[in-house]
Amino acid sequence: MIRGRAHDGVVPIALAVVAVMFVVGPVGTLLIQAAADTWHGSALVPQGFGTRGLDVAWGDPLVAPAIVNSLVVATTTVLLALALAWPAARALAADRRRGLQLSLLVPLLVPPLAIGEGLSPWFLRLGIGDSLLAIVLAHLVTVLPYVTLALVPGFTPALTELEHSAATLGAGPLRRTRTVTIPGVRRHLALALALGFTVSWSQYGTSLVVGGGIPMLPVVLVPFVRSDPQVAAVLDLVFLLPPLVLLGLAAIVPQHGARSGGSALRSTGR
Amino acid sequence: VNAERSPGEGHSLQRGDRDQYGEHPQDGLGRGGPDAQEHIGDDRLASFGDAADEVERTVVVERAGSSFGQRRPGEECRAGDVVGGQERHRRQASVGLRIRDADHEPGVHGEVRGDIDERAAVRCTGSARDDAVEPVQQPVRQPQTERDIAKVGGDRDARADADREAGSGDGLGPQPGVRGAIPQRAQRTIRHGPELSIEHVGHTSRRRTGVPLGLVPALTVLILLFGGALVGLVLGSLRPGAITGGTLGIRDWRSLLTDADFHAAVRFTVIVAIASTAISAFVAVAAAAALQHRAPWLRGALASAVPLPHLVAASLAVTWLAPGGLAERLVGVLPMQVIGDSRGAGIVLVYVYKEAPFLALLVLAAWDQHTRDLEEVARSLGAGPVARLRDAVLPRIAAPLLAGSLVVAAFTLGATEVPLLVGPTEPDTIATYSLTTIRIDGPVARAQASAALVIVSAMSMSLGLVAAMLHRRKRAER
Repeated sequence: MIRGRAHDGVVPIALAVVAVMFVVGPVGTLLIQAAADTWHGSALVPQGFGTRGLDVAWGDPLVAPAIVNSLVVATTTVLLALALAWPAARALAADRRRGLQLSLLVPLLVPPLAIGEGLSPWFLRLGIGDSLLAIVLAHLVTVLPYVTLALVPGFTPALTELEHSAATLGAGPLRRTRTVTIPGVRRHLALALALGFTVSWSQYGTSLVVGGGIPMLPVVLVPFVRSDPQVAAVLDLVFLLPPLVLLGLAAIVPQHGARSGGSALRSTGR
Repeated sequence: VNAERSPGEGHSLQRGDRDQYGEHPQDGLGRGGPDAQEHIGDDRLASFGDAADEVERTVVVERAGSSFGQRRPGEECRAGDVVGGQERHRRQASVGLRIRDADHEPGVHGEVRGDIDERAAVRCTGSARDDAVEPVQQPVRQPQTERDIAKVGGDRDARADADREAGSGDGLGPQPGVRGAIPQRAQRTIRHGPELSIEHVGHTSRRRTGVPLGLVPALTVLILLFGGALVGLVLGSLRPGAITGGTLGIRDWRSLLTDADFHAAVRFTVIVAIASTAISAFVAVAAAAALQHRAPWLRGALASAVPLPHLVAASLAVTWLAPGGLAERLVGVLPMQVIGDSRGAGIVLVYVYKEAPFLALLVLAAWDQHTRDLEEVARSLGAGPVARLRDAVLPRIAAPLLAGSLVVAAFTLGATEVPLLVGPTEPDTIATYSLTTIRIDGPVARAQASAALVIVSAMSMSLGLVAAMLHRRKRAER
């Protein structure tokens, strides 16, 4: 009992510390810094708040294209990765050889900067150097393993049985995918999409080397960190928003349960 | 026999034999021809003398199920071979029954588990008309004893064995009046059962060797892009523009390996990677030790740190810890300069901030109820906190902690953005060295930069190799 009470006291404090350190602290700091138009001397609180950071960021000719480019690249990369990862995850879930899954991790061991540096001569030779396509392909090396490995646990034996049942009841491949498979893996699918997008969105080294002069958000952000912290804070918030939203959404996607499994079966015509 | 099957047949039960009419497979005894061999059970070859032994070793399909598909004492079914109901039993005469003895138990259980894993294989055991064969969720474990074997002699099949044993040599039929004793050859046949079983199970749960078809597109893309990147990097290190037609040479490797700045970069990178990883692991274990109760709550809170990009973490570090930053506004002058510290304090701090929660999540996942039970046992035996951690907890969390630490170390070796933002101007890390080289010396220095990246890639992949070997060793130990 004593130990239990002690832990009851420790846990809320620990949660508060963790939350402050990793959620409230970073976001709060960035919000204050982004709005601090005037912050001189050793004052704890900014002397003046405003939208200077936002104005400067928005007025920079590279920032808006960088955001658009990063969105386009991350979306394209994750969709491309999903198309390749879907059958791969199914195969890995059925195969169960750990070695195959581990082999997918190998590209993650090599620094992204090295991957970009190694790919850029090929892309130049193929005529796609310094293009969004080149960046997408370079990001794919890092994103594809994450998306695949996030999807694998979704393809459970129970889901396979449901699919077989749906097929027995006359559901075609498309209908099976729509009514059984996607609902069955939706949580892992959401996580895979969020993770893949975040990984591509955050790539710095690859985008820098492969992209040449193409503005990408992380590449544009770095110089501001030391030159103008207020603008950097604005861009940090922009940079932070999609991962937080997507991973938050992925976390609240409900697990496919028995009831939904039943409804999936019913919808196949039983 | 197995080799003669078409792939679609899969299993003896689907062959369609007299069993479907409710007759016991033994009824097939005495019939000639190749089919008859398939009906020859584990113990029915005894009367054929030495030649029977050879047949036993080649016949891989056993069809010697007892009536109604139930296991006889002394026999062990495959996991999937369980009968659903009395009506079904009659249609399921041979579901891969096999006879085992204690000597073969380990192998047997390995097979049974393999069969459980192979759900498709288990399903194949059912006849086409009867899908009542249900997979067993728990492996059947029934140690065999001589007493069990004696029971075999007590039932109908064993009596038949005895009959045949009595007439062994040249007798093809039972000899009247010789009953009761356990025939030597019948026992030997029983012991040979697992040999047959191994071959048989090999058909259904054979270790796969090829690459699954679904994995081919993803692997092809990865091999092309990742393999292309490695080849391009190495070629680029041998000569800038090597892919576009330049001549190869090791001049840039020489200049890299004799560059004092590169030596400093290697030292700095290794120190930062080791320090970041070790401190992150220590903090992770300490945090997990303090907070492992109510782990589900904490996992959610800790997990919120994982999506924070390294770039944002580094940017926050600059906001807080740079001269004149928020930390100095709060507490006055900091005791040391963190941002830009030539010993890498800023880089290490950012990595610990980012990687410790990741490692703590891994540790918390391994620090389960069983580990806590072990701790309690150690506590009841008088072990102190350090002894409990060392003897009860660390063995349980070592594998995920080590694997996670190697991943962290591999990442910190090659990451760019954090050293670029919070690291010193000198020395560089290997990654920033390559960027600096290109920035200062221009495209001419690209080969040297590529060579540096080849080295850091090799270091990272070596760590991955170590992790894989440790994983393999751990599995082998299990």
